[in-house]
Amino acid sequence: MIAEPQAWLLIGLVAIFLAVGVAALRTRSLFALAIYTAVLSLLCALALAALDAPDVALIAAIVGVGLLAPLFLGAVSLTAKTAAARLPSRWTYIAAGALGLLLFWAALDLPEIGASSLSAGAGIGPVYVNRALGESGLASAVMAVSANYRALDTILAAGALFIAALGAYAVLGFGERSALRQRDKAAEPEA
Amino acid sequence: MNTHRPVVVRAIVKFVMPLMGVLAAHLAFVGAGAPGGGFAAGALFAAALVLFGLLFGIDVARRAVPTLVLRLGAGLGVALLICAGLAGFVRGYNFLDFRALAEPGPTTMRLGAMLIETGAGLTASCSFVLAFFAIAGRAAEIRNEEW
Repeated sequence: MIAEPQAWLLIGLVAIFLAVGVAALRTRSLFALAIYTAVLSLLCALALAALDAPDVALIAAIVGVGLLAPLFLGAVSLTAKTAAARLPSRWTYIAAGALGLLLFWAALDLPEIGASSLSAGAGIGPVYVNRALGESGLASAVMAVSANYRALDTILAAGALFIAALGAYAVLGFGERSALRQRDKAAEPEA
Repeated sequence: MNTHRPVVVRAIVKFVMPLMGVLAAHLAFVGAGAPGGGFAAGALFAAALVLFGLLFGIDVARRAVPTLVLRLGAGLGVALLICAGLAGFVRGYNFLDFRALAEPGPTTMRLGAMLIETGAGLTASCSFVLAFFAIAGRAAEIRNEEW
């Protein structure tokens, strides 16, 4: 099992996560929803940091809070500010609760964190861990994997981001002809 | 002329933005030995710009960092990555074999890793800001009462 204070930290995080999730489900303001999303991302990042995965936690915090939430806010500025007043039915809650209980029940059977029997401890994983520092000239095995052994994956990830930005530009443009901009121009002729 | 500006948040952002920039530079250089690296640095730098655009208006942010520069940066990052890979072909190695860059050894692997991280960070940073400009750039400034 994980160390005792770490376990309590994770339990606390999950409790806050659940509370924020329920609040996010019940709000109708899309602005509030974007902020809740950022809070959930931050909680995920904290949980990852508590599990000794600082590299992933760093990316989760930066992308979730710094980039995803502003993108949602930008999208909200293009659409209505409140969601339609349609709360999910009783069966949705029952199904979600049953699924949650099922997942909790399944989680009781999970192997220990960091156990050597995990799939990450078999196959190519130990090879990277044992050889990365000597071969790559780097002091961080994570970066050795992402930039040396798995450089093709990194290239494709960057390519996917590039294509996503290209797509956003091709579909939306940078708003030169949008109705909102025309309205702002009419409202402030000196600008 | 505008009465809808969130003054307190702007003051905080003015203080936090340089710190984010410094932290991004730190992450870019510390990545070889600690959590960080090009992608995290690029994303954090983009987050700083996005925050600026969100609070001070997309137009101001676009005057500070023209979209042409961002488009060039995003393309340049991908081009750098592909060139780092293709260098292997020219010297008779496999795609992405860093031994093509210099004498084989850890130093060369380190150089290759730095190239990959730089390209990925550049592309990530520029692409994120571009996507934000495209999505949020339709209104010159998001007004307070519209939330």
